[in-house]
Amino acid sequence: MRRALLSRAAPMAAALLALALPAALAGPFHLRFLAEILLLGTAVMSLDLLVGSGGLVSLGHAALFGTAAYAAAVAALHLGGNLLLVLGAGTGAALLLAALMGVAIMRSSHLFLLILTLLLGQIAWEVAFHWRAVTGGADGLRGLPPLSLGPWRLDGPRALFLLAGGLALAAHALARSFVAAPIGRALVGAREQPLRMSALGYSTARIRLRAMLAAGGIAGAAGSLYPFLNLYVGPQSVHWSLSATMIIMLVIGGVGSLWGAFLGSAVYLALQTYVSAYTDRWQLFVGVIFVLIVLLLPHGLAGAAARWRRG
Amino acid sequence: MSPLLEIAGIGKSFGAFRALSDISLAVEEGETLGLIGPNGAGKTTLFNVVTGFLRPDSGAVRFAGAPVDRLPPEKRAALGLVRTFQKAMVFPALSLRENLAMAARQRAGHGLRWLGARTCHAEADAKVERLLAESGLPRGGGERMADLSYGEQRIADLLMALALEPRLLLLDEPTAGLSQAEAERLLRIVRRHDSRTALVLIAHDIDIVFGHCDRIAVMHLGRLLRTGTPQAVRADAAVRAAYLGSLAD
Ligand SMILES: Nc1ncnc2c1ncn2[C@@H]1O[C@H](COP(=O)(O)OP(=O)(O)OP(=O)(O)O)[C@@H](O)[C@H]1O
Ligand SMILES: [Mg+2]
Repeated sequence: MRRALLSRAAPMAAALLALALPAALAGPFHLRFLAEILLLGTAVMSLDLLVGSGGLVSLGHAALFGTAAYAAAVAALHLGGNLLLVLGAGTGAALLLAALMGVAIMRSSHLFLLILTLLLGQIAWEVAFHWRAVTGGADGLRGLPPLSLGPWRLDGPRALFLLAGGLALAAHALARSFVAAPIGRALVGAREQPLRMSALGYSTARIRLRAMLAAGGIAGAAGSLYPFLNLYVGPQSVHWSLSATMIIMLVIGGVGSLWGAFLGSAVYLALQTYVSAYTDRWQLFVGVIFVLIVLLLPHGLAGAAARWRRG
Repeated sequence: MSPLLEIAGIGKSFGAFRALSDISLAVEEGETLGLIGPNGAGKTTLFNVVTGFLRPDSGAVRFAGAPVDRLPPEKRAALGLVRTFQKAMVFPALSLRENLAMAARQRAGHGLRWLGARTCHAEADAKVERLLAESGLPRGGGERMADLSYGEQRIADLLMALALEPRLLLLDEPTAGLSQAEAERLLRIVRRHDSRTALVLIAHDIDIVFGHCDRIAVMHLGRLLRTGTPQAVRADAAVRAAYLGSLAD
């Protein structure tokens, strides 16, 4: 019993420490950078629900994240930066798109799933890029009001970092409960043996739809806060290349571990930021490093960490 | 009272090949029907049609008095029309207990739940323990399915089907590849589980079919050759010519 409590409390304490230390010590640049890692990591973790549990590789995950970002930004421009309003608008928009995606992929094979999610993502990008009146087109939306909650303004880097951290913790708890619940087990079953699942009375289509909604909701919540890091949102946040980046982050972090998503997003963004400062050919370097990580650590950083802990 | 399962005029072709021609058959509540016939006779195809995994070209299927032709497999399973597959079809990477729990949760109507997981799992686990104890498998339940012997996997496969508390259970060669003792044990488990469950049993082992079934249906080249009591089928000249040959003597 005490062991169980300890094994649960220890990661929680570590996570809180990982949030408290930077909050106390880091400067504004790093706080924003860490907040970005946390928000993208949350989106990547929600992708892990689809990929890790369901074997459903989506190339449209950025569309969920970015659509939420746009919806949140538009809501804030018109109605102000109230945190709950922003979260609600973004998450709601992502859920709508997720429902659409979920219905589209209900019965498709894995190749078609990849293509359908990619195409739906492309449509989202087209809308963001061409609907200038609402989205600002290629320029995106600037001049967002800062986030607020009642009397408090949440616009400092520390507040944004803590907000992103709180969201990441809550999302992680949510994702873990999903994986452990009957629906999460059914998602694994539908990946492993879909025919048997039908014969047991499970509708694999409904399983997929629910997984997509859960993943979309979480990605949407993270996307809702994303524009407020830099008070800007642009079409890059819905582009399919961000979806691909999320898959790379997931693979680096470790598919199926949930928390590895944060590692993957941290490593990717850190390499991108710091290597690009030294050389123009950073993409080549980063590419080679990723290939090495994937080849040497097939279960990602989280898998390597788990093996190391077991000894 | 109408029969539990009613199949009328089922036909199914794959391209130019007629796998099933005009099959009509009824299964009564609580009865055990043996379905036999040489390889390629169409037995598995008939199961696929009845359970909704294949669409027939013609004919109709009624279950518990209502047509089920338009229902997908999962809806038919939910009505209690449950099958197993010719090869043991389990979740190899999951534990034995989780395999059975997957079925138990669905039966309880909790298969897709997110909230209230704790109670769902507790309920399912209790049922799984009962099934495991009843089965006499010398296993705790924590072992990975892939680490079980083939015979044990077949029994686990059957237990998954039984966890659904079927009204009609279609078993596709459940005893193939098992020793005589294992096969007997498997059939005992089915019997003990619920005497009201109707059973359709495909098997090539003549002793098993003739020993356990109330009636026997014989298929050959996609047609239903004969349906009747074991004695009548054993005595039928056409059946002997097509399938049983000297085996039945
Ligand atoms: N999906 C399919 N496509 C094409 N042909 C098929 C298909 N399924 C079955 N068949 C053919 O239909 C015929 C009947 O097959 P079926 O599996 O129903 O036979 P069976 O009686 O179950 O035989 P066995 O005892 O070998 O299992 C076979 O000739 C088989 O090759
Ligand atoms: Mg067969």
